[in-house]
Amino acid sequence: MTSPLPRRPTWLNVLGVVALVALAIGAWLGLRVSPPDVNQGDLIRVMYAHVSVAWVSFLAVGVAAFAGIAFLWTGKRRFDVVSLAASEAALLFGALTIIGGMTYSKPTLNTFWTWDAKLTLTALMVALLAGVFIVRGLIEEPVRRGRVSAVILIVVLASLPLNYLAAEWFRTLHPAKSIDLTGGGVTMDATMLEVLLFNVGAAALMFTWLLIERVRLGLREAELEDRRGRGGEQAEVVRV
Amino acid sequence: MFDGWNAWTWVTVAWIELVLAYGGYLIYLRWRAARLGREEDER
Repeated sequence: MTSPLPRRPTWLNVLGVVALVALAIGAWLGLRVSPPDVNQGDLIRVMYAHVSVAWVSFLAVGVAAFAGIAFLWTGKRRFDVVSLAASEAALLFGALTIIGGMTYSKPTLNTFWTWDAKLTLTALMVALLAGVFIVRGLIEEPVRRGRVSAVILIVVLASLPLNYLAAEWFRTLHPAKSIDLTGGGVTMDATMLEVLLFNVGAAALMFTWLLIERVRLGLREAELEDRRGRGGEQAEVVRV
Repeated sequence: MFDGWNAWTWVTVAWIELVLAYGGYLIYLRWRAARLGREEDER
């Protein structure tokens, strides 16, 4: 079997290795270097895994939605490929956020799940992201498929500010933010903050690597689909 | 079932989730690339 992809650039291999090493260092920092929390004890180490993927799921949704907007604006297929790749990553990181959140919630709050605003909005985000793939599977025509999924992704993007602020605005089991980007400052131990930010960086590197790998594959798949489409049209012409 | 789990069991489970998710996605990408290769060979 021939390789369907162009030769792997060295920098992409380097990026993959750096992402994996960063992930390993992040785990070491979270599991060994971070001090235990005054209230949660060693359970605070779950937070580094959970919060880092939660933030990167937001980043992935942003990339998917803005690539979708670029596709709506320009009609260029490569933006749809990027949007699809980022949507897959957003679904991966979103599902990890929910599963990690349940793993954190059970020992600290004595429940896996509750239908409050924050958790429900996150579940809705993941459901809508899954919907993108269901819809894409139902539409064969590439331009229409890209447009419809872009519109869904814009809706998901619009829900993110509400999701971010839900722990402050509504009664919820989810803890209030320890890092408040709306001006509340940081209420977290300095070492814990550094470990958390390192893990967020590692997760973001992982996202970037997976995104690029998926885009390479997606561009080739789109090329093959276009060739098939043209072949189909020619077959129609011959039959007529 | 979970009452007997201590803090480190939950911590281990949370980090294993990450490894499984990233590993699973990389396997999925390899499978997709192999399928694309087969399709291109058929053409």
